[in-house]
Amino acid sequence: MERVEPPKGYVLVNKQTVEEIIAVEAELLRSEGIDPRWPGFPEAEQEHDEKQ
Amino acid sequence: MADEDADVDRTMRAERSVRSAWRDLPAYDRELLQNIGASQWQVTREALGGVVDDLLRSAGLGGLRQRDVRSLDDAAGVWIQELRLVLVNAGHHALAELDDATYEAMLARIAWHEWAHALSVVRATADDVANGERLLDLAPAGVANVIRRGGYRRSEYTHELVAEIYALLMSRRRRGQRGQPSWLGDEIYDLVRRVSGWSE
Repeated sequence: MERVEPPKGYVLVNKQTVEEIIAVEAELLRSEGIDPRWPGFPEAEQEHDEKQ
Repeated sequence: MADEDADVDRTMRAERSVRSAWRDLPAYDRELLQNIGASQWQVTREALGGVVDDLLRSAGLGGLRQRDVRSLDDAAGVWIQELRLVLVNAGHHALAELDDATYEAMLARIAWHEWAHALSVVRATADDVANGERLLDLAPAGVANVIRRGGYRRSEYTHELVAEIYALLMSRRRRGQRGQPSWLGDEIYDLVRRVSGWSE
C-alpha cells in the first residue's frame, strides 16, 4: 500500500517561534494603526459574562 | 491531579477556541470548506505524528513512515487531506506557558491556517506552487522569515504563505478590519483571494 506523505503541518519549534509569530502579527497590525491585543471571540465574552 | 485538571481545562478551552474560529470564518469560506468535505476537526493533547498514523491505519490508508511521524510531532496543527480532517495539538509544548488570551489567539490562528490549507491545496495551480520562492520574496519580511525557518520544502512555500496570510486576514477581520492590508502587495492578495476564496 502506498504510504501517505503528510505535510509538515504548522510547525512550532519552541516558545520563541510562538513569540516571533505574535511579534510579526503585532508589527503588521500596528503598521495599520490596529490594536494588536487579541480581542477574543463573542462567545467567549458571553460565557465570561454569564459566569459573573 | 491538579495537573490533570489543568490539562482538561486547557483542552476544553482549546476546543472552544477552534469552534469559535470556525464560526468566525466568513460564511462563504465555511460553505466552501463544507463543500470540499473539510469541515471536520479534532483537538487532541497528543503529538500529531502518532495521532495521524493511528487515524490513517484505522481508515485503512496505511501508516506513516517513522520520519514523517517524527516530523509531524513538531506540528501544532495539520490538515490531512486523505482524512478530510484538521488536527490541532492543544498540548503542544510551545503553547504550554501562554496566557489564556494568547493561547486562544494561537489556537484560532492554527485552525485558520489549516483551513486555508484545505482550500489552497485543491485550488492552487502548479504555477502557483512553482512560484513559491518568488512569492516569499514579495511577502512581508517577518512572514517570509517564519516560513523559511520552518523547514518547509520549496514546494510547500506557496501553501504556507497562503495559509499564513489567510490567518492574518482573519485575525485582522476579528478586529473589525476588512479589505486589502497596506502591508500586502496585490499579487499575494489576489493569490489568497483566488485559492482560498477570501472575498472580504
